[in-house]
Amino acid sequence: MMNTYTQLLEQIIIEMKTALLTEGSNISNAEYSVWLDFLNKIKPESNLLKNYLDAPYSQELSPRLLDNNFYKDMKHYVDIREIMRLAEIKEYPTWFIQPKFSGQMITLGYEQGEIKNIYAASNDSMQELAMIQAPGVPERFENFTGQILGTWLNEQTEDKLFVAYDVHNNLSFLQKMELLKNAGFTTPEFVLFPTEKILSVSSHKLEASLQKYLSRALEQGLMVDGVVIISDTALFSESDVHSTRITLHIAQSII
Amino acid sequence: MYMNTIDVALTPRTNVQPYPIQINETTMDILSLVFEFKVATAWQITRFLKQRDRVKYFYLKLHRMWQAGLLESFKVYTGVRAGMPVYYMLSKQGLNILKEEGTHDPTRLKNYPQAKTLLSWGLFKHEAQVVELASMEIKNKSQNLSIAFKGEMNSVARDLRSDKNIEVLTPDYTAFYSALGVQECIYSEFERTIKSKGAMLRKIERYTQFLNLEQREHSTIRLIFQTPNMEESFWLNILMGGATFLQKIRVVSTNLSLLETYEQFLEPIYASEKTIKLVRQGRMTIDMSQRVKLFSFL
Repeated sequence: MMNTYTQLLEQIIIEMKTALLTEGSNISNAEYSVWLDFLNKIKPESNLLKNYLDAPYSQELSPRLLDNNFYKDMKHYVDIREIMRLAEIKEYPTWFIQPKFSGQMITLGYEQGEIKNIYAASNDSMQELAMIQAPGVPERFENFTGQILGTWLNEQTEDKLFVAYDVHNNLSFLQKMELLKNAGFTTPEFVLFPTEKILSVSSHKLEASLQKYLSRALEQGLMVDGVVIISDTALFSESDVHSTRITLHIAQSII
Repeated sequence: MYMNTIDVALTPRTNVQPYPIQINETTMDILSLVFEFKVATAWQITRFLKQRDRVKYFYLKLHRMWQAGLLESFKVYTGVRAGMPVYYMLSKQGLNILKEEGTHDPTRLKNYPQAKTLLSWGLFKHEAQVVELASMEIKNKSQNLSIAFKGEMNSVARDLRSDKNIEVLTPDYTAFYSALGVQECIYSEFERTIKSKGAMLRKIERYTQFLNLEQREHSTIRLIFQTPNMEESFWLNILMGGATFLQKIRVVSTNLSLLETYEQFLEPIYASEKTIKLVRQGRMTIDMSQRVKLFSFL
């Protein structure tokens, strides 16, 4: 009997995946993930999960959700214990945690300190925005040429503000955050991943502390659905995944 | 737990109607469990098979197995006459069924202790505490964490290379934690009495000699001491003696005062070479205030 229900569940997930790839579908990635999480609980050996857990975001999830290119090449985790184990294998490195933003990704292009363009990711295309549409974006960023990535705080309100979470350059994470702050950007709160505590704190407690951290981001008006764990050194040797960042999905119902 | 096996005798089957028991999967599971741990109570067997303390079916099933002659039973005085726990052990008939099944080593089946040996005070108390510990630990089994066991009878490894039947590994029980596609093997030794420094070192060194590098990578030796003092004295001897095996295999320790509830098995209750500190306070002592979990993923 259990097998019959599991097969039905797998069938539904396959149909959801097909729907996700269809233009105009009303199924969200978050909904799709919830079903996969449930399947993971009752049939962890399912082939559907193999792809979901092993593959980076880009291979398994809907293109509509891949518009946020920042996350697409990162390895995606749903079980915090896997990250704890990774931290142990890497011998307790220094990692930083930022929220994983589910809102619209905004890209700012600067050339020699002057802002040249602002793009908002929209479905699978990029839409150029006028400066007036982007509060919180400094017009000048002295001596800087490159791209800044960010999202909206309070997107639907008059208090809408740009929050910058990454700079495309080779600086360390802390240097990037310092650089953004000095340039006048609002940056999201980040915390240290407690690698030194992973042997003394339970996975439930660690997950609860991450949920608390994300709740603060939500209260501030940011759209988040997980965390990004950032390392200044490579985490993986595979060339097809982002080597210094991984994401941990935390279901919104839990947050 | 206060226990006394003086005057304990197997429950006689006088005036008991033989029960025509069906030898099904549960029967075999129970026989295997009792064989591996030598003795077990109904609540311990229920924990192993259902991760709960009480399932009526198992209490009835065990009684029927006793009625059918597959198990022997005896009551042990624990301080009060009311609620004396009933322990089960294998009968000759039960051992024969396991022999016919063919999945257990015939030599180990032959070595299963006789009732008079098992009821001797020292051995019984040790076995009773070991099965209680293992049965508490299995209650942590969940969808996210698989826990399996081998009792002492099946944990024993023999040295085949030397062409001698020498027991090289003799953990009281072996636990297997599986999660995230990895299986960790925990050789568990319950240290009820104080052993000489040399005996302890030899015991642990046997693991490093017998297990190959690949096996050691996912193996942990877990020493559960009766008291915190015994645990402290173990580490003091190890550190003062400069034991080199700590580089070869992971050794963790804990004591019964930290294992009062089953959930504690997953909590930071373990000391290891990395967490302990040698402290000089007039004499050399060990600071064991820092404790860690068995594995990072718990």
